Amino acid sequence: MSEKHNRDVIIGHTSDGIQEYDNPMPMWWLGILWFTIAFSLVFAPYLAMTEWTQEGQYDAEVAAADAKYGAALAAQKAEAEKKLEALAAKGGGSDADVAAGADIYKVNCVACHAADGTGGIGPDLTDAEWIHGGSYAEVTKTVSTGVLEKGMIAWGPILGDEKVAQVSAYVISLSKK
Amino acid sequence: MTEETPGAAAPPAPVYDDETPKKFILAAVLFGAVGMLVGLWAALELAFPALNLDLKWITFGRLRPLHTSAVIFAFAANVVFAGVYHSSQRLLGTRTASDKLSAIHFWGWQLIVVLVVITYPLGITQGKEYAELEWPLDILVALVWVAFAINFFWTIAIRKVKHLYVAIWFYIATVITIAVLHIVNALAVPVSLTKSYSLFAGVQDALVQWWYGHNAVGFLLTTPFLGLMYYYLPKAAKRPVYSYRLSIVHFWSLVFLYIWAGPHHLHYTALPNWAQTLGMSFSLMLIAPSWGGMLNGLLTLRGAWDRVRTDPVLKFMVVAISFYGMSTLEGPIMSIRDVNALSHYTDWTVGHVHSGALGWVGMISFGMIYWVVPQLWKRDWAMPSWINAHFWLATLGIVFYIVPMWVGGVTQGLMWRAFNEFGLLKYPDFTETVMALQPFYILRAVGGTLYLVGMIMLGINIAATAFGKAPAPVAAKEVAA
Repeated sequence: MSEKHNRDVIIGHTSDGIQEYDNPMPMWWLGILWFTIAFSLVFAPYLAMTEWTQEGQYDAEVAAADAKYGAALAAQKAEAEKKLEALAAKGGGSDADVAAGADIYKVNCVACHAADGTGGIGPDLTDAEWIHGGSYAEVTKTVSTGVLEKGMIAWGPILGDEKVAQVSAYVISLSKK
Repeated sequence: MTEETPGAAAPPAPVYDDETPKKFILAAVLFGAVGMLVGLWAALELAFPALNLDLKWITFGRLRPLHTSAVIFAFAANVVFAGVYHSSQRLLGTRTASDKLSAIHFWGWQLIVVLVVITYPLGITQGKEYAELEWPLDILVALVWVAFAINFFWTIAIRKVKHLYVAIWFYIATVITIAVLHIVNALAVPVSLTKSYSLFAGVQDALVQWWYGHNAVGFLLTTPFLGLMYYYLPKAAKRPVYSYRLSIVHFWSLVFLYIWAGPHHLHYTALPNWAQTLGMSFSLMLIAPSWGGMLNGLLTLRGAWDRVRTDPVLKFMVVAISFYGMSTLEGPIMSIRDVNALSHYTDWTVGHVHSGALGWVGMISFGMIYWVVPQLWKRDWAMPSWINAHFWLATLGIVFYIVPMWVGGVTQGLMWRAFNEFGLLKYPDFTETVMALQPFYILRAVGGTLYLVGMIMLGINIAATAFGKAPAPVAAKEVAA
């Protein structure tokens, strides 16, 4: 055996018949070990002193999204409000709207407002009280833009204006029963 | 020069306690099959929610912790105990110090398992992942573990062999660290027999929990199984361990670095940025120490690769070590915060865990069991052809499990962060992402089924071998030389 490379030399002790070579550690493996340690020693303090924080990342992403989508989003909002105003001017939904709204309600609203509209996580929709206003215009606005601080989702972007109008008509019909 | 040459004439073999490892193996296989069945049912509930049959006891939220606890504490831990009791006696050249403590350890641990199976479905839980046990069970775990520790260190103290083999170092790290992790994370204020509140609050509670959770993986599913690898792999391969030096360096670097990596479970939370960065850095530094174990395992097989093709024990072990290497590279990559932003809370994490659990822990356990059962019972396997079938079922099962979880996890992560042309969420309804995952959940259940069938075949094979008639004297006795 070559003394120079010191390969496959059995070390002195035997454990229940198991022997061990005293082979050197693979160089590339040692390389990974030292590199990751050195990298962490330099990189971690560097990160601690820069903006690569979760708050920094969030601010950067929001700024980038504002720049990219800001104009389109504002235009969409303006257009949606115009449509809702037109619907409100019409003064409410037809019976067909109420029927279609009932189906939308079953899929999207029962989790918080219950199947019969008596509420749970969200408020009771069958009583005469309207927290955010009970006119057609007010209800469509509440459904469309939501009440985020209380957990009511903005359904406008999800359902679209037509379905918002239909489900609002259904919700108003609930309070009249 | 490389052939095995036991130096001095072997001293007269002391009478080892083989009953304890036998019992632990039977318990591991029985509870392992049950735990995997529960996991399969939980997986099917995700694909077909009606399978919870409207029974609160088997809803996903209660079955899932039952599954994880059963496979970790009733399968993996019992395998570890079997291997530790079997190999330590031989490596230390002495019988386990106290048969009484061994019995307390075995029956105490199985009692805990049974109590877990009763309490989790009833909804009695601390709600901490992998540590759901309520406080009376936590105390029982601590007492039984201390009994194990006393027995283990007592055996080391009365050993007949001076040198402590590398497997024993890994066992020592396991016994000490698990005790510390369990006791600190379980600190709680009881308000009744079945309810308690953690001593820690808020983000500190979360950090302690993931210091525990991450190192439960490290010191119950990694270090003891590396110890088992260091004993059973050279035994089965009849080859010397590749490098003593490598084993020293990777052991110490692994146990030192592992304990700091827990915060990577809490990226983008209330945990301070510096602590997140710390967890990520230590995770990256863990790549080499983990791969040291893989390398020493694979390089030990030099000169035995022809036998890997034919010997099912070696096949199981090679696949296990390969999955160990893969998942210990995948883990550090997932701990990088920007990767974690995509992977966290998705099924990618579930796939990652199972490449470690099914691939590493499961396969190395099967390799060990298939090697040690003929030694312990002094009988050949009743159905040797089933071993190969089990190998292929398990290997295929892992692939069918992991690949859908990768694809499904990345799909879900991308859906969560997709925007429409107005910068609003493209998939605002969470249900949409779940519907997209259904095909992957079904495929995953197919993988789990294959793995479970293999496990059941192992169980039948053990029962037929251990309790069947016609004890043919084991032909492979020379393996134990």
